[in-house]
Amino acid sequence: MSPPFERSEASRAAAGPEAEPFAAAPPTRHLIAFLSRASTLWTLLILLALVVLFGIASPGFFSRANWLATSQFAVEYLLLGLGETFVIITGGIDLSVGAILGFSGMVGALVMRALIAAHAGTTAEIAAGVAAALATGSFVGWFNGQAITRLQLTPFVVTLGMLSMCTGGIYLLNNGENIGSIPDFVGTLGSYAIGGWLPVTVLVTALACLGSAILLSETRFGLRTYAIGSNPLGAARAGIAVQNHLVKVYTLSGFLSAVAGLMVMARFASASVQAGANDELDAITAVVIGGASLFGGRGTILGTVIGSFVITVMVTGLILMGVQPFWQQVAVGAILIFAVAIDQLRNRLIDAA
Amino acid sequence: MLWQKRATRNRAAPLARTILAAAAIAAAPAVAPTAARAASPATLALVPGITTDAFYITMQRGAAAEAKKLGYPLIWQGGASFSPETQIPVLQALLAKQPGALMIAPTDTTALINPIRQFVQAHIPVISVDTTISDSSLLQSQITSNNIQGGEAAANAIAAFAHQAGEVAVINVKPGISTTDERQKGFLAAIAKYPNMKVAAIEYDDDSPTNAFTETQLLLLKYPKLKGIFGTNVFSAEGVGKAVVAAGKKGSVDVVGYDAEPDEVNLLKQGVITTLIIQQPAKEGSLAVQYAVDILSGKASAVPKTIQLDNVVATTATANDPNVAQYFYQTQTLP
Repeated sequence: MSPPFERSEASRAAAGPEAEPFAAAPPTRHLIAFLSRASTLWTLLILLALVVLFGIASPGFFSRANWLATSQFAVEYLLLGLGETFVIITGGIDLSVGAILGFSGMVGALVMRALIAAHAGTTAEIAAGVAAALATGSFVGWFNGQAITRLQLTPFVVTLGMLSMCTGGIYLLNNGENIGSIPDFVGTLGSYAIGGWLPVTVLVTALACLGSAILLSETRFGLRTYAIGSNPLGAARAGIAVQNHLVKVYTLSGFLSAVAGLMVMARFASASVQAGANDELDAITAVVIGGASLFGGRGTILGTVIGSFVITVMVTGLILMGVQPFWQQVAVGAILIFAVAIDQLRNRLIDAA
Repeated sequence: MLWQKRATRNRAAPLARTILAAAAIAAAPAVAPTAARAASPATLALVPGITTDAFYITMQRGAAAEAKKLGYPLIWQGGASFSPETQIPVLQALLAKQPGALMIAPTDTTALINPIRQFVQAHIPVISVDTTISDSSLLQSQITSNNIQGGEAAANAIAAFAHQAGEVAVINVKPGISTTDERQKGFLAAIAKYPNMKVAAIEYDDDSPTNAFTETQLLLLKYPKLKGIFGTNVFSAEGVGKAVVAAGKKGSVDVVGYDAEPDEVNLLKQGVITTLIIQQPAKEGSLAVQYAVDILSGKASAVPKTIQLDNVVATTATANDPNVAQYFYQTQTLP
């Protein structure tokens, strides 16, 4: 199958913004294209408004310390949100991302601890631990994908079950205790900021965002992801192996969750049994605020990045303002509903056009 | 099902009475005490909130040591997660075994009332350890940890560090948890007694160390003169301690945590956490056994209806002192 053919076939099946043929489009098409991007624009405006508001209201908001706090806080939301973006664009949902984060981090730390006991040397300890964590996350994601496609179960049920299994697994692996005996270098790296401004964990996350954005908007993999979410039947007719592709998407989500697990482990220099707990809903919130549709076919990595920062800036800004903590949850919820309301309005306008 | 349950209960009653009678005989000193006890020592059952947690394992050690000393066999059985869903089936299985007394750390104040009532109706005395249920009439005794005193001890530790002046903060779990709420209450009340001290902020981390970490980073930015932070449970303290180190404020901001899980003790020794307020699960366990044996020996009137144990304070400086280290939680149960 040659790439050009692949691209045109997928374009016909897809209605996602990346698949729009922009050349020689009639004026109404421009309007639709604009509206499909409007949600990201709106969200960016919300983010800018928050930054300006908090910049005025809370002294210290524009400081290195706050940048470090906010960017490191966003790492977890972002890495989980990236995988979740792919999954949501296919019309699915992954509720197990937070539990995979904790589970794969725990497996990685167990391997590191075992190798430390065997005096394997720092390089081997870290390499094997990282590989074990990434393999665990990918495997759990792959298993999700298999259960969803081969057993024909809904993503909600499979990943909800997996959330529970992995949470139990976290406790089983080390009797519910944190694992603190990992190589010192992991902790050193996890708390190191390049030039005092760019924490290593944030750099890794930025690279993951860049990679995901290219994967989603510039490759066949991305096109197929949009195509499946817009019209699964059409995608299948266009020659896309829908089931195989879905397995890949859930595997990717598991892999990125494991990367998040490693980042959290590095920051704390230990694997915590509470790491990632309840993160799945935050990740979904970030993706949805970023303009993705839970019905599939729409969403962008840029949107998810903005959505993640809307949440984290909101939380850190309110803490800096000294507002009673319970308002953080109220505010994040309100922004979520506001963002989705805009999304719906946009849909109606596109339908009307 | 219901019929079966009732049948079990009816069968249970006379047997339990027999055991109680045997125990009563054992207690009567005039009637050859040692012989009678050797014949039928009632089995004591201890049901923890979760079997894998160091806190409850330490409780088991205290109970097992005391039971061995007094010559009673001890069953230790519980769920693999802290929830009524896993704890209630354990209780139902235990009821069939007819223990002489039940010592339990209930995982819910209301959900465990009915399962515990089944034991009471089978004439098996029940003692609550650490946590409790809202219907105290079912319990012979309630042994709890004094969380208010623990919060006060945390405040006093920070006050001593800060020479009784300056701002402090609390990172709590979430509102509505009785133990951590009481710790916070005790902390706030004790800080209020120092005229030059003030609680600048209270944040909630939802049991996530990453949230506690971020909140601490921001509090250190907003209140640069912060003297100390109280993390009300294991995960809060972990997040607080590591954020203080990351901000380069180790040694200038006092970090007080709660409990003494192995990971926390390591952080205490490293100075990441500077003070730990430690509960006494081993003493809770041994007292529970002592009271159970008293009740079985006909000395129920000597058993206090409620008792609150004070907490022990460990600091980085005292962490290696055996008198303090003996209170650290253990990860291996006693046989």
